[in-house]
Amino acid sequence: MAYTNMTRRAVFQGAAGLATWTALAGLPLATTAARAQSAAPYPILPQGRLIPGAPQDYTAAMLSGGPGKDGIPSIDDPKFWNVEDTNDFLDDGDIVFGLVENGVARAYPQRILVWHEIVNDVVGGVGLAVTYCPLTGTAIAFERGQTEFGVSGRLVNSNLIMFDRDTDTWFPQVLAVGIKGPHIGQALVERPIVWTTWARWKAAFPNTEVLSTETGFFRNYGVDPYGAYNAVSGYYVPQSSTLFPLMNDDDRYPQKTVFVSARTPNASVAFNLDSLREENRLETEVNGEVFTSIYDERLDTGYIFRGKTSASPTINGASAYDVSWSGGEALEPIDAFQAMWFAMTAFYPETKVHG
Amino acid sequence: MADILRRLLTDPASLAFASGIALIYLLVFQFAVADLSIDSTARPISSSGLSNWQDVVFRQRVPFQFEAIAVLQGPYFIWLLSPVNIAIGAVLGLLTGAQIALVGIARKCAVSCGLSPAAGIFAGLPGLLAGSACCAPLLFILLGVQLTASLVTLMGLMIPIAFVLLFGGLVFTLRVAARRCGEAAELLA
Repeated sequence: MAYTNMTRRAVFQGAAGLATWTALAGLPLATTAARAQSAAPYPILPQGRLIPGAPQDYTAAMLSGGPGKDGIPSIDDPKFWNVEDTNDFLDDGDIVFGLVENGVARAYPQRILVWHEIVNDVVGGVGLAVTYCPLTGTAIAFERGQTEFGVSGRLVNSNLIMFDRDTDTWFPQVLAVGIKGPHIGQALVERPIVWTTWARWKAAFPNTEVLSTETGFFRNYGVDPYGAYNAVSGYYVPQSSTLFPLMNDDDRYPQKTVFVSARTPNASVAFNLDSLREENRLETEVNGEVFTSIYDERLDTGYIFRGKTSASPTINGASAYDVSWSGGEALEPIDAFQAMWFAMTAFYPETKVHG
Repeated sequence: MADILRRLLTDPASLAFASGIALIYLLVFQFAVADLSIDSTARPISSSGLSNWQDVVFRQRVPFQFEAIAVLQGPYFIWLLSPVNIAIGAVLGLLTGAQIALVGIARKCAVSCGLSPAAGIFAGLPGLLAGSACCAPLLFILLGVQLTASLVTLMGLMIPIAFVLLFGGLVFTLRVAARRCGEAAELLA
Protein backbone atom coordinates (compact mmCIF):
# COMPACT_ATOMS: atom_id res chain seq x y z
CA MET A 1 0.00 0.00 0.00
CA ALA A 2 1.39 3.36 -1.00
CA TYR A 3 2.41 5.75 1.74
CA THR A 4 0.33 8.90 1.58
CA ASN A 5 1.55 12.32 2.48
CA MET A 6 -1.49 14.41 1.62
CA THR A 7 -1.68 16.31 4.92
CA ARG A 8 1.95 17.27 4.89
CA ARG A 9 1.75 17.95 1.18
CA ALA A 10 -1.22 20.27 1.65
CA VAL A 11 0.76 22.27 4.21
CA PHE A 12 3.71 22.69 1.90
CA GLN A 13 1.90 23.01 -1.40
CA GLY A 14 1.32 26.75 -1.20
CA ALA A 15 4.89 27.53 -0.28
CA ALA A 16 6.25 25.13 -2.86
CA GLY A 17 4.04 26.62 -5.54
CA LEU A 18 5.30 30.07 -4.63
CA ALA A 19 8.87 28.80 -4.76
CA THR A 20 8.32 27.35 -8.23
CA TRP A 21 6.66 30.54 -9.46
CA THR A 22 9.48 32.62 -7.99
CA ALA A 23 12.10 30.44 -9.66
CA LEU A 24 10.30 30.70 -12.99
CA ALA A 25 10.05 34.46 -12.62
CA GLY A 26 13.78 34.60 -12.04
CA LEU A 27 13.43 36.03 -8.53
CA PRO A 28 15.81 34.91 -5.78
CA LEU A 29 14.47 31.96 -3.83
CA ALA A 30 15.89 33.39 -0.61
CA THR A 31 13.04 35.89 -0.70
CA THR A 32 10.56 33.05 -0.80
CA ALA A 33 12.32 31.27 2.04
CA ALA A 34 12.11 34.40 4.15
CA ARG A 35 8.37 34.68 3.49
CA ALA A 36 7.60 31.06 4.18
CA GLN A 37 10.17 29.58 6.54
CA SER A 38 8.75 26.08 6.30
CA ALA A 39 9.24 25.95 2.53
CA ALA A 40 11.94 23.75 1.09
CA PRO A 41 14.87 25.63 -0.44
CA TYR A 42 14.02 23.94 -3.76
CA PRO A 43 10.81 23.44 -5.73
CA ILE A 44 8.57 20.61 -4.56
CA LEU A 45 6.31 18.61 -6.89
CA PRO A 46 2.81 19.70 -5.79
CA GLN A 47 1.11 16.41 -6.67
CA GLY A 48 3.83 14.30 -5.03
CA ARG A 49 5.34 11.11 -6.40
CA LEU A 50 4.65 7.43 -5.80
CA ILE A 51 6.36 6.02 -2.73
CA PRO A 52 5.31 2.38 -2.24
CA GLY A 53 6.53 2.11 1.38
CA ALA A 54 6.73 4.38 4.39
CA PRO A 55 9.83 6.61 4.50
CA GLN A 56 11.06 4.63 7.52
CA ASP A 57 11.12 1.46 5.39
CA TYR A 58 13.79 3.04 3.21
CA THR A 59 15.85 4.45 6.07
CA ALA A 60 15.76 0.99 7.67
CA ALA A 61 17.08 -0.52 4.44
CA MET A 62 19.89 2.04 4.03
CA LEU A 63 23.44 0.85 4.33
CA SER A 64 26.84 2.39 3.90
CA GLY A 65 28.66 1.87 0.64
CA GLY A 66 31.94 2.72 2.37
CA PRO A 67 32.43 6.48 1.91
CA GLY A 68 31.15 8.87 4.53
CA LYS A 69 28.93 11.91 3.95
CA ASP A 70 30.49 13.94 1.11
CA GLY A 71 33.25 11.29 0.84
CA ILE A 72 32.19 11.14 -2.80
CA PRO A 73 32.59 14.83 -3.62
CA SER A 74 29.88 16.51 -5.66
CA ILE A 75 31.06 19.00 -8.27
CA ASP A 76 29.96 22.37 -6.95
CA ASP A 77 31.86 24.69 -9.28
CA PRO A 78 31.65 22.94 -12.64
CA LYS A 79 33.76 24.12 -15.55
CA PHE A 80 32.83 23.39 -19.16
CA TRP A 81 34.53 22.68 -22.46
CA ASN A 82 33.32 23.51 -25.94
CA VAL A 83 33.12 20.54 -28.29
CA GLU A 84 36.52 21.32 -29.79
CA ASP A 85 38.10 21.53 -26.30
CA THR A 86 37.25 17.95 -25.40
CA ASN A 87 40.24 16.83 -27.53
CA ASP A 88 40.44 13.09 -27.22
CA PHE A 89 38.90 12.77 -23.74
CA LEU A 90 35.61 11.47 -25.17
CA ASP A 91 35.21 8.68 -27.69
CA ASP A 92 32.14 8.75 -29.90
CA GLY A 93 30.66 5.76 -28.08
CA ASP A 94 31.19 7.13 -24.57
CA ILE A 95 28.06 7.74 -22.52
CA VAL A 96 27.02 11.31 -21.75
CA PHE A 97 23.96 12.66 -19.97
CA GLY A 98 22.53 15.55 -21.95
CA LEU A 99 20.06 18.28 -21.17
CA VAL A 100 18.87 21.56 -22.64
CA GLU A 101 17.55 24.43 -20.52
CA ASN A 102 16.48 27.72 -22.08
CA GLY A 103 18.50 26.94 -25.19
CA VAL A 104 21.70 25.98 -23.33
CA ALA A 105 22.77 22.41 -24.09
CA ARG A 106 25.12 20.62 -21.72
CA ALA A 107 26.63 17.16 -21.69
CA TYR A 108 27.91 15.44 -18.56
CA PRO A 109 30.32 12.56 -19.33
CA GLN A 110 29.53 9.37 -17.44
CA ARG A 111 33.27 8.82 -16.90
CA ILE A 112 33.39 12.00 -14.79
CA LEU A 113 30.10 11.54 -12.98
CA VAL A 114 30.98 7.99 -11.94
CA TRP A 115 33.48 9.59 -9.51
CA HIS A 116 31.24 12.43 -8.29
CA GLU A 117 27.60 11.37 -8.77
CA ILE A 118 26.23 14.94 -8.41
CA VAL A 119 26.93 18.18 -10.28
CA ASN A 120 25.41 21.30 -8.71
CA ASP A 121 24.98 23.38 -11.83
CA VAL A 122 23.07 26.36 -13.18
CA VAL A 123 21.93 25.83 -16.77
CA GLY A 124 20.12 28.56 -18.67
CA GLY A 125 19.39 30.26 -15.35
CA VAL A 126 17.91 27.12 -13.76
CA GLY A 127 19.63 25.67 -10.69
CA LEU A 128 19.97 21.95 -11.29
CA ALA A 129 21.43 18.97 -9.49
CA VAL A 130 22.54 16.59 -12.23
CA THR A 131 22.75 13.22 -10.51
CA TYR A 132 24.06 9.83 -11.58
CA CYS A 133 24.10 6.58 -9.68
CA PRO A 134 26.52 4.09 -11.28
CA LEU A 135 25.15 1.11 -9.37
CA THR A 136 21.55 1.54 -10.62
CA GLY A 137 22.46 3.07 -13.99
CA THR A 138 20.25 6.12 -13.45
CA ALA A 139 20.85 9.74 -14.47
CA ILE A 140 18.21 12.21 -13.25
CA ALA A 141 18.26 16.02 -13.08
CA PHE A 142 16.45 17.83 -10.26
CA GLU A 143 15.66 21.49 -9.70
CA ARG A 144 17.75 22.49 -6.71
CA GLY A 145 16.71 26.10 -6.19
CA GLN A 146 19.68 27.75 -4.53
CA THR A 147 20.74 24.88 -2.32
CA GLU A 148 23.30 22.21 -3.18
CA PHE A 149 22.95 18.48 -3.01
CA GLY A 150 25.66 16.17 -1.70
CA VAL A 151 26.32 12.43 -1.66
CA SER A 152 25.43 10.84 1.69
CA GLY A 153 27.58 7.74 1.14
CA ARG A 154 24.54 5.63 2.02
CA LEU A 155 22.65 3.46 -0.44
CA VAL A 156 19.21 1.92 -0.59
CA ASN A 157 18.58 -0.74 -3.23
CA SER A 158 22.14 0.11 -4.41
CA ASN A 159 20.85 3.60 -5.26
CA LEU A 160 22.54 6.88 -4.38
CA ILE A 161 21.00 8.69 -1.41
CA MET A 162 21.59 12.41 -1.72
CA PHE A 163 20.97 15.15 0.81
CA ASP A 164 20.37 18.84 0.54
CA ARG A 165 22.98 20.96 2.27
CA ASP A 166 20.46 23.46 3.68
CA THR A 167 18.03 21.22 5.56
CA ASP A 168 19.79 17.82 5.45
CA THR A 169 16.76 16.09 3.97
CA TRP A 170 17.75 12.73 2.43
CA PHE A 171 16.42 11.62 -0.98
CA PRO A 172 17.09 8.30 -2.72
CA GLN A 173 17.70 9.35 -6.31
CA VAL A 174 15.23 6.94 -7.96
CA LEU A 175 12.49 7.55 -5.37
CA ALA A 176 13.13 11.32 -5.45
CA VAL A 177 11.01 11.67 -2.32
CA GLY A 178 12.40 12.71 1.07
CA ILE A 179 12.86 9.76 3.44
CA LYS A 180 14.55 11.58 6.32
CA GLY A 181 14.77 15.19 7.45
CA PRO A 182 12.49 18.23 7.44
CA HIS A 183 11.09 17.55 3.95
CA ILE A 184 10.28 13.90 4.44
CA GLY A 185 7.59 12.71 2.03
CA GLN A 186 8.08 15.62 -0.36
CA ALA A 187 8.98 15.02 -4.00
CA LEU A 188 11.70 16.82 -5.94
CA VAL A 189 10.96 18.39 -9.31
CA GLU A 190 12.74 16.66 -12.20
CA ARG A 191 13.99 18.14 -15.46
CA PRO A 192 14.42 16.20 -18.72
CA ILE A 193 17.85 14.63 -19.17
CA VAL A 194 18.82 11.88 -21.57
CA TRP A 195 21.28 9.02 -21.50
CA THR A 196 23.00 8.88 -24.87
CA THR A 197 26.39 8.67 -26.54
CA TRP A 198 28.79 11.50 -27.19
CA ALA A 199 28.54 11.08 -30.98
CA ARG A 200 24.74 11.27 -30.93
CA TRP A 201 24.62 14.22 -28.52
CA LYS A 202 27.16 16.37 -30.33
CA ALA A 203 25.47 15.63 -33.68
CA ALA A 204 22.13 16.77 -32.25
CA PHE A 205 23.57 19.72 -30.30
CA PRO A 206 26.83 20.83 -31.95
CA ASN A 207 27.02 23.92 -29.72
CA THR A 208 26.80 21.87 -26.55
CA GLU A 209 29.00 22.57 -23.58
CA VAL A 210 30.68 19.60 -21.92
CA LEU A 211 31.52 19.14 -18.26
CA SER A 212 35.31 19.28 -18.01
CA THR A 213 37.69 17.29 -15.83
CA GLU A 214 38.52 20.45 -13.91
CA THR A 215 36.32 19.37 -11.02
CA GLY A 216 38.29 20.63 -8.03
CA PHE A 217 39.40 17.07 -7.28
CA PHE A 218 41.87 14.63 -8.79
CA ARG A 219 40.55 11.36 -10.14
CA ASN A 220 41.62 9.08 -12.96
CA TYR A 221 38.77 10.03 -15.28
CA GLY A 222 40.00 7.59 -17.89
CA VAL A 223 38.91 4.70 -15.71
CA ASP A 224 35.49 3.57 -14.58
CA PRO A 225 36.06 1.38 -11.52
CA TYR A 226 32.90 -0.64 -12.16
CA GLY A 227 33.47 -1.61 -15.78
CA ALA A 228 32.73 0.07 -19.09
CA TYR A 229 29.80 1.02 -21.29
CA ASN A 230 31.89 1.44 -24.44
CA ALA A 231 31.87 -1.66 -24.91
CA VAL A 232 29.77 -3.02 -22.05
CA SER A 233 31.77 -4.91 -19.45
CA GLY A 234 32.12 -5.55 -15.72
CA TYR A 235 29.28 -4.48 -13.44
CA TYR A 236 27.28 -3.14 -16.37
CA VAL A 237 26.85 -6.48 -18.14
CA PRO A 238 23.10 -7.24 -17.98
CA GLN A 239 23.62 -10.71 -16.51
CA SER A 240 26.03 -9.61 -13.78
CA SER A 241 24.94 -9.61 -10.15
CA THR A 242 24.10 -6.71 -7.85
CA LEU A 243 26.47 -5.59 -5.07
CA PHE A 244 24.05 -4.77 -2.25
CA PRO A 245 20.86 -6.36 -0.86
CA LEU A 246 17.53 -5.24 -2.37
CA MET A 247 14.17 -4.53 -0.75
CA ASN A 248 12.45 -6.50 -3.53
CA ASP A 249 14.08 -8.99 -5.88
CA ASP A 250 12.58 -9.77 -9.29
CA ASP A 251 14.32 -12.20 -11.63
CA ARG A 252 12.08 -11.88 -14.71
CA TYR A 253 14.92 -10.13 -16.57
CA PRO A 254 18.71 -10.04 -16.16
CA GLN A 255 19.41 -7.56 -13.36
CA LYS A 256 21.09 -4.85 -15.42
CA THR A 257 18.71 -4.90 -18.42
CA VAL A 258 17.91 -1.29 -19.33
CA PHE A 259 14.32 -0.08 -19.00
CA VAL A 260 12.91 3.35 -19.81
CA SER A 261 11.02 4.03 -16.61
CA ALA A 262 8.66 6.54 -15.06
CA ARG A 263 6.57 7.02 -11.98
CA THR A 264 3.57 9.25 -11.37
CA PRO A 265 1.78 9.91 -8.05
CA ASN A 266 -0.13 6.64 -8.54
CA ALA A 267 1.76 4.32 -10.86
CA SER A 268 5.13 3.17 -12.11
CA VAL A 269 5.88 1.84 -15.59
CA ALA A 270 8.94 0.44 -17.33
CA PHE A 271 9.54 -0.21 -21.03
CA ASN A 272 12.35 -2.49 -22.16
CA LEU A 273 14.71 -0.27 -24.19
CA ASP A 274 15.60 -3.12 -26.56
CA SER A 275 11.90 -3.67 -27.35
CA LEU A 276 11.37 0.05 -27.78
CA ARG A 277 14.24 0.20 -30.29
CA GLU A 278 12.54 -2.53 -32.32
CA GLU A 279 8.95 -1.30 -32.07
CA ASN A 280 9.52 2.49 -31.93
CA ARG A 281 6.31 2.88 -29.94
CA LEU A 282 4.94 0.88 -27.00
CA GLU A 283 1.87 1.22 -24.80
CA THR A 284 0.88 -0.19 -21.44
CA GLU A 285 -1.99 0.32 -19.05
CA VAL A 286 -1.96 0.71 -15.28
CA ASN A 287 -5.27 0.88 -13.37
CA GLY A 288 -7.10 2.14 -16.45
CA GLU A 289 -4.44 4.74 -17.24
CA VAL A 290 -2.50 4.29 -20.48
CA PHE A 291 1.17 5.20 -20.93
CA THR A 292 2.85 5.52 -24.30
CA SER A 293 6.59 5.32 -24.85
CA ILE A 294 8.28 6.43 -28.06
CA TYR A 295 11.83 5.84 -29.25
CA ASP A 296 14.14 8.73 -30.17
CA GLU A 297 16.53 7.15 -32.66
CA ARG A 298 18.57 10.34 -32.85
CA LEU A 299 19.64 9.97 -29.18
CA ASP A 300 18.92 6.23 -28.78
CA THR A 301 16.62 6.79 -25.84
CA GLY A 302 12.93 6.65 -24.98
CA TYR A 303 10.33 9.10 -23.73
CA ILE A 304 7.13 8.34 -21.84
CA PHE A 305 3.79 10.10 -22.23
CA ARG A 306 0.55 9.87 -20.32
CA GLY A 307 -2.36 8.64 -22.46
CA LYS A 308 -2.97 7.01 -25.80
CA THR A 309 -3.39 8.68 -29.16
CA SER A 310 -3.77 7.87 -32.82
CA ALA A 311 -1.51 10.85 -33.57
CA SER A 312 1.98 10.38 -34.97
CA PRO A 313 4.94 11.75 -33.03
CA THR A 314 7.69 13.82 -34.63
CA ILE A 315 10.97 14.30 -32.77
CA ASN A 316 11.74 18.00 -33.30
CA GLY A 317 15.07 18.02 -31.57
CA ALA A 318 15.35 21.43 -29.94
CA SER A 319 15.75 19.52 -26.68
CA ALA A 320 15.06 16.12 -25.26
CA TYR A 321 11.31 15.52 -25.18
CA ASP A 322 10.76 18.09 -27.93
CA VAL A 323 8.08 15.99 -29.60
CA SER A 324 5.10 17.20 -31.60
CA TRP A 325 2.05 15.14 -32.51
CA SER A 326 0.09 15.28 -35.76
CA GLY A 327 -3.21 13.76 -36.81
CA GLY A 328 -4.72 13.44 -33.35
CA GLU A 329 -4.52 14.36 -29.71
CA ALA A 330 -1.10 15.38 -28.36
CA LEU A 331 0.13 13.51 -25.31
CA GLU A 332 1.51 14.95 -22.08
CA PRO A 333 5.14 14.00 -21.40
CA ILE A 334 6.05 12.68 -17.95
CA ASP A 335 9.44 12.46 -16.24
CA ALA A 336 11.27 9.37 -17.47
CA PHE A 337 14.75 7.95 -17.07
CA GLN A 338 16.71 4.84 -17.97
CA ALA A 339 17.30 2.39 -15.14
CA MET A 340 18.65 -1.07 -14.58
CA TRP A 341 15.83 -3.60 -14.18
CA PHE A 342 16.59 -4.44 -10.55
CA ALA A 343 16.52 -0.79 -9.51
CA MET A 344 13.01 -0.16 -10.75
CA THR A 345 11.53 -3.33 -9.28
CA ALA A 346 13.42 -2.99 -5.98
CA PHE A 347 11.78 0.40 -5.38
CA TYR A 348 8.50 -0.25 -7.19
CA PRO A 349 7.61 -3.97 -7.03
CA GLU A 350 4.21 -3.25 -8.63
CA THR A 351 5.80 -1.61 -11.68
CA LYS A 352 3.84 -2.32 -14.87
CA VAL A 353 6.45 -3.79 -17.17
CA HIS A 354 6.41 -3.82 -20.95
CA GLY A 355 9.08 -6.36 -21.76
CA MET B 1 65.60 -5.86 22.28
CA ALA B 2 67.54 -2.62 21.90
CA ASP B 3 70.48 -4.60 20.62
CA ILE B 4 68.40 -6.29 17.92
CA LEU B 5 66.90 -2.97 16.89
CA ARG B 6 70.39 -1.50 16.69
CA ARG B 7 71.47 -4.41 14.46
CA LEU B 8 68.48 -3.77 12.18
CA LEU B 9 69.24 -0.07 11.90
CA THR B 10 73.03 -0.36 11.52
CA ASP B 11 73.33 -3.43 9.32
CA PRO B 12 73.28 -2.02 5.76
CA ALA B 13 71.98 -5.28 4.28
CA SER B 14 69.07 -5.54 6.75
CA LEU B 15 68.28 -1.85 6.35
CA ALA B 16 68.29 -2.08 2.55
CA PHE B 17 66.14 -5.19 2.69
CA ALA B 18 63.57 -3.55 5.00
CA SER B 19 63.54 -0.39 2.89
CA GLY B 20 63.06 -2.41 -0.30
CA ILE B 21 60.11 -4.28 1.19
CA ALA B 22 58.66 -0.97 2.42
CA LEU B 23 58.96 0.57 -1.04
CA ILE B 24 57.31 -2.42 -2.73
CA TYR B 25 54.51 -2.34 -0.15
CA LEU B 26 54.02 1.41 -0.70
CA LEU B 27 53.78 0.94 -4.47
CA VAL B 28 51.26 -1.91 -4.16
CA PHE B 29 49.31 0.14 -1.60
CA GLN B 30 49.15 3.08 -4.03
CA PHE B 31 47.70 0.76 -6.68
CA ALA B 32 45.31 -0.77 -4.14
CA VAL B 33 43.80 2.57 -3.11
CA ALA B 34 43.61 3.53 -6.82
CA ASP B 35 46.00 6.47 -6.47
CA LEU B 36 48.44 4.90 -8.91
CA SER B 37 47.24 3.39 -12.14
CA ILE B 38 48.79 2.25 -15.37
CA ASP B 39 47.22 2.22 -18.81
CA SER B 40 48.21 2.07 -22.46
CA THR B 41 48.42 5.83 -23.11
CA ALA B 42 51.86 7.23 -24.00
CA ARG B 43 51.08 10.69 -22.61
CA PRO B 44 53.78 13.32 -22.00
CA ILE B 45 54.98 13.93 -18.47
CA SER B 46 52.99 16.63 -16.72
CA SER B 47 51.86 17.58 -13.26
CA SER B 48 49.35 19.87 -11.61
CA GLY B 49 48.21 20.66 -8.10
CA LEU B 50 45.28 22.16 -6.26
CA SER B 51 45.61 25.78 -5.15
CA ASN B 52 43.29 25.03 -2.21
CA TRP B 53 45.23 21.93 -1.16
CA GLN B 54 44.99 22.87 2.54
CA ASP B 55 41.19 22.41 2.35
CA VAL B 56 41.44 19.01 0.71
CA VAL B 57 44.52 17.26 2.07
CA PHE B 58 42.81 15.76 5.15
CA ARG B 59 39.46 15.15 3.46
CA GLN B 60 38.60 11.43 3.56
CA ARG B 61 37.24 9.62 0.49
CA VAL B 62 36.48 6.60 2.64
CA PRO B 63 37.68 5.95 6.19
CA PHE B 64 41.50 6.19 6.33
CA GLN B 65 41.87 7.08 2.65
CA PHE B 66 42.40 10.70 1.70
CA GLU B 67 42.04 13.06 -1.24
CA ALA B 68 44.90 13.72 -3.65
CA ILE B 69 46.18 17.28 -3.85
CA ALA B 70 48.29 16.87 -6.97
CA VAL B 71 48.67 14.62 -9.97
CA LEU B 72 51.74 13.41 -11.79
CA GLN B 73 51.21 11.71 -15.11
CA GLY B 74 53.45 10.38 -17.81
CA PRO B 75 53.79 7.56 -20.30
CA TYR B 76 51.48 4.74 -19.22
CA PHE B 77 50.83 5.97 -15.68
CA ILE B 78 48.75 8.42 -13.65
CA TRP B 79 49.72 9.03 -10.03
CA LEU B 80 47.29 10.90 -7.78
CA LEU B 81 49.39 12.30 -4.97
CA SER B 82 47.83 12.22 -1.52
CA PRO B 83 50.47 12.96 1.13
CA VAL B 84 48.40 11.25 3.83
CA ASN B 85 47.85 8.10 1.77
CA ILE B 86 51.57 8.02 0.96
CA ALA B 87 52.41 8.41 4.66
CA ILE B 88 50.01 5.60 5.60
CA GLY B 89 51.46 3.31 2.93
CA ALA B 90 54.99 4.18 4.00
CA VAL B 91 54.30 3.43 7.69
CA LEU B 92 52.60 0.11 6.88
CA GLY B 93 55.43 -0.71 4.46
CA LEU B 94 58.14 0.07 6.99
CA LEU B 95 56.42 -2.08 9.63
CA THR B 96 56.20 -4.93 7.11
CA GLY B 97 59.81 -4.47 5.99
CA ALA B 98 61.14 -4.24 9.55
CA GLN B 99 59.29 -7.36 10.61
CA ILE B 100 60.58 -9.42 7.69
CA ALA B 101 64.14 -8.10 8.14
CA LEU B 102 64.00 -9.00 11.85
CA VAL B 103 63.02 -12.54 10.93
CA GLY B 104 66.18 -12.64 8.80
CA ILE B 105 68.32 -11.44 11.72
CA ALA B 106 66.74 -14.00 14.08
CA ARG B 107 67.37 -16.78 11.57
CA LYS B 108 71.02 -15.84 11.40
CA CYS B 109 71.19 -16.32 15.19
CA ALA B 110 69.21 -19.56 15.30
CA VAL B 111 68.08 -21.41 12.17
CA SER B 112 65.00 -22.91 13.87
CA CYS B 113 63.89 -19.68 15.49
CA GLY B 114 60.18 -20.37 14.95
CA LEU B 115 59.63 -17.19 12.93
CA SER B 116 58.46 -16.93 9.34
CA PRO B 117 58.57 -13.96 6.99
CA ALA B 118 55.10 -15.01 5.78
CA ALA B 119 53.60 -13.65 9.02
CA GLY B 120 54.72 -10.14 8.11
CA ILE B 121 53.31 -10.45 4.61
CA PHE B 122 49.95 -11.69 5.90
CA ALA B 123 49.80 -8.96 8.55
CA GLY B 124 50.26 -6.32 5.86
CA LEU B 125 47.65 -7.84 3.54
CA PRO B 126 44.54 -6.10 5.00
CA GLY B 127 46.03 -2.73 4.10
CA LEU B 128 46.24 -3.84 0.47
CA LEU B 129 42.59 -4.92 0.42
CA ALA B 130 41.30 -1.57 1.64
CA GLY B 131 40.87 0.03 -1.78
CA SER B 132 37.49 1.56 -2.49
CA ALA B 133 35.96 3.18 -5.54
CA CYS B 134 33.01 5.52 -5.44
CA CYS B 135 30.40 3.65 -3.46
CA ALA B 136 31.78 0.16 -2.90
CA PRO B 137 35.02 -1.57 -1.91
CA LEU B 138 37.13 -2.40 -4.97
CA LEU B 139 37.66 -5.99 -3.91
CA PHE B 140 33.94 -6.72 -4.02
CA ILE B 141 33.45 -4.86 -7.31
CA LEU B 142 36.15 -7.05 -8.83
CA LEU B 143 34.76 -10.26 -7.32
CA GLY B 144 31.13 -9.33 -8.03
CA VAL B 145 30.21 -10.64 -4.58
CA GLN B 146 27.22 -9.19 -2.74
CA LEU B 147 28.06 -7.03 0.26
CA THR B 148 26.48 -6.86 3.68
CA ALA B 149 26.54 -3.95 6.11
CA SER B 150 29.06 -5.72 8.37
CA LEU B 151 31.37 -6.48 5.43
CA VAL B 152 31.34 -2.82 4.39
CA THR B 153 32.19 -1.82 7.99
CA LEU B 154 34.99 -4.39 8.08
CA MET B 155 36.42 -3.14 4.78
CA GLY B 156 36.52 0.38 6.20
CA LEU B 157 38.67 -0.88 9.07
CA MET B 158 41.24 -2.73 6.96
CA ILE B 159 43.96 -0.09 7.32
CA PRO B 160 43.81 0.13 11.15
CA ILE B 161 43.57 -3.68 11.26
CA ALA B 162 46.75 -3.90 9.15
CA PHE B 163 48.47 -1.40 11.43
CA VAL B 164 47.56 -3.29 14.61
CA LEU B 165 48.58 -6.65 13.12
CA LEU B 166 51.88 -5.28 11.81
CA PHE B 167 52.74 -3.38 14.97
CA GLY B 168 51.82 -6.35 17.19
CA GLY B 169 53.74 -8.68 14.88
CA LEU B 170 56.78 -6.42 14.95
CA VAL B 171 56.84 -6.32 18.76
CA PHE B 172 56.42 -10.11 18.91
CA THR B 173 59.14 -10.67 16.29
CA LEU B 174 61.46 -8.26 18.09
CA ARG B 175 61.03 -10.13 21.38
CA VAL B 176 61.52 -13.57 19.82
CA ALA B 177 64.51 -12.40 17.80
CA ALA B 178 66.07 -10.82 20.93
CA ARG B 179 65.53 -14.03 22.91
CA ARG B 180 66.86 -16.33 20.18
CA CYS B 181 69.91 -14.17 19.50
CA GLY B 182 70.49 -13.83 23.26
CA GLU B 183 70.36 -17.60 23.69
CA ALA B 184 72.70 -18.09 20.74
CA ALA B 185 75.16 -15.59 22.20
CA GLU B 186 75.08 -17.39 25.59
CA LEU B 187 75.74 -20.75 23.90
CA LEU B 188 78.70 -19.34 22.04
CA ALA B 189 80.06 -17.80 25.24
